[in-house]
Amino acid sequence: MSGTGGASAWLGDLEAAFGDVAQTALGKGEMTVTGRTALPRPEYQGAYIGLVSPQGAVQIGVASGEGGCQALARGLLGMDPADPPLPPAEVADAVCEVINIVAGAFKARLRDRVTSMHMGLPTFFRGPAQPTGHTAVDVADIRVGDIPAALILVYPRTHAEE
Amino acid sequence: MQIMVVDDSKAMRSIVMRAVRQAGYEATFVEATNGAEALKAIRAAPPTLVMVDWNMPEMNGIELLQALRAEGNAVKLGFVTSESDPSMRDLAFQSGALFMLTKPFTPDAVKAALAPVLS
Repeated sequence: MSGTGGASAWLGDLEAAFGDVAQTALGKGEMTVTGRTALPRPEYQGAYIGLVSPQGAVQIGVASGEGGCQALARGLLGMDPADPPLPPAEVADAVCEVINIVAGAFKARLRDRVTSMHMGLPTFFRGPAQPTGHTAVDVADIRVGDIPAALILVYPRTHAEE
Repeated sequence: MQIMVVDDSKAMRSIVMRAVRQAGYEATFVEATNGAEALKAIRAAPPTLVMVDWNMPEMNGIELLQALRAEGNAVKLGFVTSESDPSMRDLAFQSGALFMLTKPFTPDAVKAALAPVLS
């Protein structure tokens, strides 16, 4: 990860990328970072996407409670408050698309530091990422509009220890 | 005018179709969830325009475009993707793409992308 600032430094880039998307694609106004932790709340659900470059592989995620994910999905779809709730499968699909868009913005922010970063396909999850002996997890607790959520960065521990 | 929207996300297909309507185009839409599904549908009935995501399972967007051009199919095609790498843009245009619309897009960006293609 030489010359890239280290993957652990990318959480700020993830916050900035999500902040941009929150204002544009989600129509949620300003995003606020309320804290940083090592794990998201266990009741959270959300979406991860993998990003692979010659400098290493990371996963980024966005998570919130069931209601928060519903709100993120409705924001992406530009739904009216009076519209009926989205079914869980459509919430999962939309939140996956949110992290896909965030990943594009994240890649663009890292372009001058990381060459040739490739995006994978997003996947929906319930519960927190569990760090292993090989991985580390950094979490930014955020508030986007009135939605509490978390941004998650999973990266190889070797990079974390640089 | 018929527009095919190819994306593995139902949400994004819905957003793209709404954006096209909001840009003032009266179109009917055909949807596909990946490049392979789109390739079959285009061979059977080529639409006026294909709006395709880059990253999809089975066959991605650039593979779809290259497969179409390899078999001599000149259907109009543009990308709607969160990818914005210059190298990917270059590859898209060299392969015959007509536009590369980056998510999240504004209504003005949709109009700017579609106007020269559908005029």
